[in-house]
Amino acid sequence: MLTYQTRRSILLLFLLLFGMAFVSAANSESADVGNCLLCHKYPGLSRVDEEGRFRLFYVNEDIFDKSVHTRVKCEDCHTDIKKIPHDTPKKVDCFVQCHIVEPSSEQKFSHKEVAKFLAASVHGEVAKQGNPKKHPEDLPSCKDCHDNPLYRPLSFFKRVRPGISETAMGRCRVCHKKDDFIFRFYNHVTTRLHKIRNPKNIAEVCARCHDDPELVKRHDLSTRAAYSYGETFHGKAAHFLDERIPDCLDCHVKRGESVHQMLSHNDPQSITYKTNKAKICANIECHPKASPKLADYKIHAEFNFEQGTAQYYFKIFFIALTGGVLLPMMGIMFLDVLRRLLPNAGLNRKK
Amino acid sequence: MKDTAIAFQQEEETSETDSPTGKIYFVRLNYSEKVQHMIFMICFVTLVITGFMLKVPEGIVQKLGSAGEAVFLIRSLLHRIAGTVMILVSVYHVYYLIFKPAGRRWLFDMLPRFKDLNDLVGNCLYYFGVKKEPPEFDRFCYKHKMEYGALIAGTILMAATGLIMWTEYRWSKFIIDIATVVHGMEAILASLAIMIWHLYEIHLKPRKSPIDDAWITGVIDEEEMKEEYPLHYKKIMADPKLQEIYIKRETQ
Repeated sequence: MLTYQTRRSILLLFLLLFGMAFVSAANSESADVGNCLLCHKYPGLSRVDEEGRFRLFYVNEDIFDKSVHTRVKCEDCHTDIKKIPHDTPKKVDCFVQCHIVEPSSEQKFSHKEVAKFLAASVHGEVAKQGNPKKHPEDLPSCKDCHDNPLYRPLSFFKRVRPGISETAMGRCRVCHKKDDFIFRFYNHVTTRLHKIRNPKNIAEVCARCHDDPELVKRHDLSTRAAYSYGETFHGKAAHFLDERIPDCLDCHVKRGESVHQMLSHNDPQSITYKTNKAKICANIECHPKASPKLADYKIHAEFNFEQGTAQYYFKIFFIALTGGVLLPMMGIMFLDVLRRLLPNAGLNRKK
Repeated sequence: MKDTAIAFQQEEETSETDSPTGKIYFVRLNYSEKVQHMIFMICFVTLVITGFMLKVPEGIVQKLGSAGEAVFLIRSLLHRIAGTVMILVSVYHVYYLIFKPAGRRWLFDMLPRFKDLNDLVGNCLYYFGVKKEPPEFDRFCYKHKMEYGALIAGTILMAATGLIMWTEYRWSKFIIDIATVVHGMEAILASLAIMIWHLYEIHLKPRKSPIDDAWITGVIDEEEMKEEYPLHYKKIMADPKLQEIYIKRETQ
């Protein structure tokens, strides 16, 4: 029979261990309640899967803590993992409900609404007329475009710069006491005030499908969209990492709507429909004085014979002109040098 | 006219024509023309550098980070400033050609003539050694006239397409696309023509190398005048009015 003292000691030890575990979990920025990092913190955690692909299962906690999903528990996405060690988990379904409560509706959070948007968009598997599209396997799902994005906080004090403004945080602390809450809220809001990806990165995401010649051909698309974007001034600036320049989403999504509501340029509701697209260019942040003419030609024309015949002929003309001017010039120069260096040489000259 | 080679050999032996008031020089560019050339040249070089910066490999610009953003902001400003100044100088040049006596002389001397075609053929025959003497050039030879014509055409094209791209909101994307192609391709042509042709013809060819300083001094000496522009030399020496315009004496 245990004495009272012994029982009290065991209870204290248990409470101490529980307390340590709790403090340890609380200190961890991520919501690793299931202690998944016990294994997944090791950089070498990997294997070759059934399809022969090398899979890395390492989770970099520092990076994950800076991601927009840092407060989401691992098992909220990996719902089929119920025990440790676990079996091969299913692929994550982004439309499941997670434990996060959406503050305006006070409902459990889910990306389900996005599924509705996506289904009605140009990337949905069913056409607007109700008939299923060809090659549905080519159409994107969440993870074809999204990874786990990192916060990109901005400071607006005195001047706009990347990062967190301690001055702003200080103002938050006047009313809000939890630093962790302030930090998350600041990150969430300021990240949402601009783009999480730069224009080059966004074009690269779209290019995965829209620059794939096979896919372009299969879906009868008129151009390689990201490639032709790269040939424009916008694309050039994007490749120089200019963030002010419009990317694919700025022109293909109606202002105020989600990028998942993107419509075909043949849809009269679409911002890229022929009678609507002038509004894109004339946007207050872009070319506010733009005439409707600015958008009246193929925006994505590649400068080849099929898509930009006039530009193609201008290009050919100038190549011929450059050759036609420079080659005779260089010929005369060559003869001039020869004559000056070898004054007595000649076809019928006798010294 | 003596052969170029003979001119080389006799260069040291030939005594300069010394007038009682000193050695004489022949004006190739007057003060206004020198200033116009200087401004145009500075604008041209600035435009070439700031324009072709757009062709710098993206990886290099990306490595510059935020400094790259500042550099490219300055690039864009400088390109527009240089373009504007170049257009203004060109407009002034047109005014100069019409309203100034020296400008009218320039225009008259620069007009293409049948003789230029003959000179081109004669010059090629001379190069091939078929003819013993090169043609006698006047103030501007066929090479100068071709280059001047190319300069006018190039400046008009570049200014027009540059202004279209600068006022992109007024135009159709079709026009902007063509302007972009023409501006880029003409830039390559003009830069190569200047780098290959103008630098060789004016500065780097034997005898003138490494530089012909006439673009700074505005004058050439009598030897060079006799050798390069013999017809013009003869005309000047035969006409006191032309001597007043084109001859400068060392002591002046």
